[in-house]
Amino acid sequence: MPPMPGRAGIHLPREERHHRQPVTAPAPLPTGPGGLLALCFLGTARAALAATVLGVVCLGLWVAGLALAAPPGLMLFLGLVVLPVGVLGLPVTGVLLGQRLPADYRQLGLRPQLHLWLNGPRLRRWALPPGAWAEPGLRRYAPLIVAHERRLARLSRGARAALAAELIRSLPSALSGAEAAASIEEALSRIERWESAADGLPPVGAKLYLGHDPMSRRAARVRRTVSRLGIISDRLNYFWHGQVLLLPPARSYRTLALLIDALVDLGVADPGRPLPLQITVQGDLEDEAKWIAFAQLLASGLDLSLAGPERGGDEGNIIARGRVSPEPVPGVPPDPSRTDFLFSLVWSPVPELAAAGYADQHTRDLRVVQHLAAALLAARAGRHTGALEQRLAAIWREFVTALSAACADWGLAEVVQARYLDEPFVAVQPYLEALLSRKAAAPELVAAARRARDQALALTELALAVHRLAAPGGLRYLRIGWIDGREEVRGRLSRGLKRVRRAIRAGARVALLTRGGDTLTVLLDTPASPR
Amino acid sequence: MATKVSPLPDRFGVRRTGEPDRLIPPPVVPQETPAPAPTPMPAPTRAKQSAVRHARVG
Repeated sequence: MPPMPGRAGIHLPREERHHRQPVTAPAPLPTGPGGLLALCFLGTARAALAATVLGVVCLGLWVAGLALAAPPGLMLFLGLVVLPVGVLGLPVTGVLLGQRLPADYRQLGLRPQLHLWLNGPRLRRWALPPGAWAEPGLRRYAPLIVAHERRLARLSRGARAALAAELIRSLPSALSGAEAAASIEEALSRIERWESAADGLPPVGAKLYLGHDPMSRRAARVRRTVSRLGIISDRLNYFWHGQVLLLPPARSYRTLALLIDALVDLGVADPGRPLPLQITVQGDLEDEAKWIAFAQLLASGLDLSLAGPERGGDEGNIIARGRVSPEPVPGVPPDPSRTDFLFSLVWSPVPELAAAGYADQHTRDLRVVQHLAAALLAARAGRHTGALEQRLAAIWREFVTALSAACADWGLAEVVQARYLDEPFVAVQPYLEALLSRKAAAPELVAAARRARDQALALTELALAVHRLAAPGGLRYLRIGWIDGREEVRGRLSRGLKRVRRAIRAGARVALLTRGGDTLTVLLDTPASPR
Repeated sequence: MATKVSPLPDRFGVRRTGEPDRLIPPPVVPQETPAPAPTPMPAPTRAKQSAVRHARVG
């Protein structure tokens, strides 16, 4: 479903609700003399070398003219045109042209950049991250991919990176053009479905924190590798002494999870160590975002310990207000604020924990953060909002009430009432230690946190799905069926939705939602069914 | 208060591994089934109706 103006989701201020987000078409590849000039001056070392060579050549020409007693006109030309242009004009132009190139292109090595320059006219526009074209499997089928340029231009940068990852995995094994075209269509359609199904949710981004030295050869290899997916590597981060990968934003948590899995498969992680994952959500969630972190920390099956004391000059927290404005995402009105969640880890590089069922823990964290953040944003939007926002706000209040009651029952009232947003680590460390140690001693607290979280997630997903399905023409009736073939009921929509919500609170789950005419059909799965 | 942030997760260690937290699968929402097109109404036969009206009036 393409993004529609006026349905930009629950995270908008009212006056921006009808903002039409322009499509962020990829920029054209650098080609021709201008492109070559930009390539010569990308990066400090290359620019210095190119400027030196140009200066030596131009000066050499001028000196040769003097030595050979060249005609005065020629000497004038050399002195007034060739020297200034060669020593100053070309280097400055080259540097300025190079700065306009995207960061992920600048991080590619010289060879792939030269290759892209040579193939630029054939590839026309960057439908995918430029580094992806360095893959022979993709290059071979470039015309088939570029044929979908308009669809690709509507995707977020995260979705294009995920698509590049999928195509890099699947295309090399394609035996024919028809098979390749089918792979491209399948991957593109799948990611498009994920992204359009996230209508109403705030965009999500992520950062992965790698443990190795950012100045090492390993880091340089990782940087070149991830550039193929359009992912930027941060070389210097004051607060983290390793390499940081900046994942581009996407509309759907599934897209970002796919990208993270692809990065782990590419070998960016140290085997045996988890990867700290920062999840970023567009929008200012304020201190209430802590409830989302509490829910996931309590619901996790891991008994965690907290290391300390605080390192000098190093402050951290489970939630933070991001300083840099999030990158706009097509189809979603921009918001200058963002909230970072720092409780999650990617466990798939740790074989024992991956085998124990934690390989997709980061996918669960992303899904919960994105959906509960949508509910929280609706709650913060205030009273003058639409029916969807009011429903989501009610879900959020119910979730916080249930979780805070469970925490209070287990003596954590002070822990959950403390302020976390932008607080230093020393202030929150005792609270987090209390939370984790209480959780280790109380399986009932874990169960209660999971119940509150599961209900909020299910109700949020139901509300968003109903909202999306209701869009063209409106719904009037709801038909409820059960997956084991039990009773089927058809009634008015609002009454039916109340019944579905009651069932969710009793532990049922919504397996399927379809629309036929003005009737919504909901298929419920019983609590006793195996998951 | 400074708003600098370091990634807190590097402080988490794992003491014990319990039953993983498994989320319920998200609901499946296939493409919307379009409403069936309404059956077109037959064109009215005006000559027949006016004959009936004239007959009643008459």
